Amino acid sequence: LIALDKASDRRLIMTDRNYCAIYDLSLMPHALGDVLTWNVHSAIRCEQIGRKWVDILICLDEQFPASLHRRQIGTTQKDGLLFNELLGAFGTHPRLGNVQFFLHREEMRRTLHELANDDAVLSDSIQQYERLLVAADGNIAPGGNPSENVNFQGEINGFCERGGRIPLLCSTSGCEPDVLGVLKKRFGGKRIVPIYPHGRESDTGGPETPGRDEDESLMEWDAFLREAWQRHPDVQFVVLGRAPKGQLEFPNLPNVASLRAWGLGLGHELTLMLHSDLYIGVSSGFGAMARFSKIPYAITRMTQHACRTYGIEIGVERLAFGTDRQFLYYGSETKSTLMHFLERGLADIPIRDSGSSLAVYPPIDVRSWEWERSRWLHPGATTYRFYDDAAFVEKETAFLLWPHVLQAQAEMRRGHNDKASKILERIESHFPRVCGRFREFLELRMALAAALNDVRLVEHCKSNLLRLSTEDRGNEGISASMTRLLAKEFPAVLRLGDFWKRKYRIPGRVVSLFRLLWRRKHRIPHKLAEFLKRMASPPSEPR
Amino acid sequence: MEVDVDMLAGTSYCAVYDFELFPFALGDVLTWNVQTAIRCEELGRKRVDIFICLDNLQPVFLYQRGLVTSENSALFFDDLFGAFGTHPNLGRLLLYRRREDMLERLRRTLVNDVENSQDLVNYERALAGGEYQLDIRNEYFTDCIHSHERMNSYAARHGHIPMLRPSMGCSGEVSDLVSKEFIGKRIVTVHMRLRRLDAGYGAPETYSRDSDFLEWYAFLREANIKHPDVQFVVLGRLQEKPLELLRMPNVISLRTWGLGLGHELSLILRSDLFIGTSSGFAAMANFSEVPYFITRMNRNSCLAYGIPSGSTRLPFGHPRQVLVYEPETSEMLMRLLERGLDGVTARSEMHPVRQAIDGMLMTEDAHLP
Repeated sequence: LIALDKASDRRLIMTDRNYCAIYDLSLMPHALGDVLTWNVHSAIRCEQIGRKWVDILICLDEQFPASLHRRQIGTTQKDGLLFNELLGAFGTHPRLGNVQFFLHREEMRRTLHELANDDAVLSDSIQQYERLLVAADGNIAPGGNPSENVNFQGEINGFCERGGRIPLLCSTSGCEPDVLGVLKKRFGGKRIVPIYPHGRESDTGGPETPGRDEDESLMEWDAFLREAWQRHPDVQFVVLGRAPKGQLEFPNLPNVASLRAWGLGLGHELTLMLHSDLYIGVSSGFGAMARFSKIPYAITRMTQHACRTYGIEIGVERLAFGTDRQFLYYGSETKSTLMHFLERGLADIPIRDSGSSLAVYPPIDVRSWEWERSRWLHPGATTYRFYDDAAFVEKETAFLLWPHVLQAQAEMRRGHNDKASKILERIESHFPRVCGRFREFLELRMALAAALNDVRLVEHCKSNLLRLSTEDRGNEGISASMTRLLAKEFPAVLRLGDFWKRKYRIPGRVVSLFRLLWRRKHRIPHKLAEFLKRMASPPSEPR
Repeated sequence: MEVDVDMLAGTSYCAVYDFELFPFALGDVLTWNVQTAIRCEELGRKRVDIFICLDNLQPVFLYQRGLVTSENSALFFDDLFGAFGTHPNLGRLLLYRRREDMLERLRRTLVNDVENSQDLVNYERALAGGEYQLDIRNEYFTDCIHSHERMNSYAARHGHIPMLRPSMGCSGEVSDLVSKEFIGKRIVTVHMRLRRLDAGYGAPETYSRDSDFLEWYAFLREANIKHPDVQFVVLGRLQEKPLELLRMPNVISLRTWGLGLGHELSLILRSDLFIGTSSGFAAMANFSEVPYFITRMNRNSCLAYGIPSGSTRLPFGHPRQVLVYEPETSEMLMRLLERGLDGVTARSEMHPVRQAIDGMLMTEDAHLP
């Protein structure tokens, strides 16, 4: 079997068998950086033994103290992985094969032994793993802390020295369409710079950064982002990582966004990094993603510990497999150093020509909303919701209230003005701001008020509608207004499309209709008789 | 270290969830978990080894084509992954990206297992029929997931069914959340289905099953005044949640903490009450001991549950687990809340023993690199 290595364009001779790699989460760290490093290391091992794919065996045994099961929110490191992030992290593996999860270590060992029956390579891996287990059980690690055996960077550096390259991390499986959607629809025409300003607790206040704490660094970042907005408005920063304690809002700057606030996850962030123009951030999990990719980066706050992890001497500015645009920085971040990294990193990188992003049309136009949001949905993407500003929230709320407005309209048509009025009053009591900008709502409210002779309310609605008309006039040209008018029929087109997609159901439906009619055939004479009687009887007096 | 390779052999039941035959749907995965747990017990086995087939080169479930593609199927799976972790008898969870690998492994594992082999034969028969024999595939889906017949008859014989468990890997974080962040609160997990907001997730034909936003909003607002000690946790994707709702003081979503589906399913089991529409999350409540009110019940739901239309309880439900047919209104939701929380007190301060245990765990975590 011959496979093409995308990174190096080299042809590799492979066997058809997968290489099994073990990650015991009750023994090895849960941190993102460690998992990503392990991904690269196991991909190297896979190449070395001439296999094509890596099968990942993950053990999550809750009996062991360091297990993910025992994790607590308050004590997790900032770059520690949550359970729902595991697939996002392992999904970047350069040679991802099958993934197997085990709740019991013994079960995993049984499986390993089964698989190793005729696989000498796996037998070696099992022996290594079991040595690690013995060391962990007795707390006597061969060469220190058992978890340090996960630090494979030395071997990665060695592989690079021999071959001049390493296998690079890939986009997390399944995340590409969503990320392309964000880049094209939301960040169109921007240069993308993901950032990770949060340091690990163990990295702050170390010998290289005396007297600094997390807050000070964050203040420098904040000042930098504000100045960048003035000097480089075409740069879009994306803050990586989880928001602290359920916080929904991120730095309230127009040039800073967070994928997490839009419901996207770690896999999306890692994928976005690979599509970005530059990464700036501390030496941490996201730094590992940058290190094992081709994107330009400036990794800050390098410490002794980080150098040991990377297998380099203190002060070295470039990794063995780093490019000219990938460098390490040993000091703490200040506004000016960050600006220097940005300008140096983005030098020669042109503004993207993928068009400008689609902005939210400010007025509430509930009937064209489904069309408007469909324009943000990239093919294959699972979300369009890249906005959380006030205009977006109001439009979304109006869309959810629309069925009630229609209901009120129907009540009014039936002559139940009181009922209709109650519905509208109820909506207004909960969402007064939205209602003040909701044209269809105001029109109906005005019509109802006129029917009920409420002159004050009529005047109020009229002035609101007038204000809206004045505001709307400046928003769009004639052609855009015409498009929006046509877009009101978009839901009907969608429904027709859905119906057409399910056309294979039509024969079945027709057959069931005939079956139903046939089951009720005994009713036909009675119905026919009734119909004839009605036809024969004289017409009734009009009421 | 010697391993007794045969020690655990023969105690597992192998079950296959193939995304060409079964959908990417929460309710279906949870129901399948219980169905296979019952089959496992009937065969006298201890654990279920879950074989998941997510083969990019194969088509996905017929009714989800166009929405789920080879480019995004892994993401749909990732979103659903926590659901498999709630299996009552979970052994191994094996995710295969090549069907051939999975079949080879299954054939090898089941070579001397006649009973389990029959399930493999049925699976391969459903696959072999292809889309030209939809009846076979529909029958297979109905038998493995949709029909509650097996569950109901098991409940009639044993008086219970295997219950879903906290999702693997999530219990620690959820316990922590409950004991630290929700002190002095009664936790009510809620699921208002608003799929029409989440256009990226498709299924427009199911918009009719959506909840009424205005009624829920009015209810939550009133609950904040009348019952400020109640913490509502909304379940599901952030994209499906109106932003107005997420900004309410008594409402949170675990997704904003970076947590996922597995955490939400685990939290349902720790909550004091679940109120939600008959949909995926309702299945988690159905197959648990948590008190619930499942709203928007209709004839189709009853058909799926195998109960007469209008029944207010599932055959394995207890008196605090109620099915509701009347339309959702804010008054009705308030009534359900008050009835469901009757006699339930708010969570008190952390117990000293629990504090000590947490302290020990924190020390252990500090040793991690």
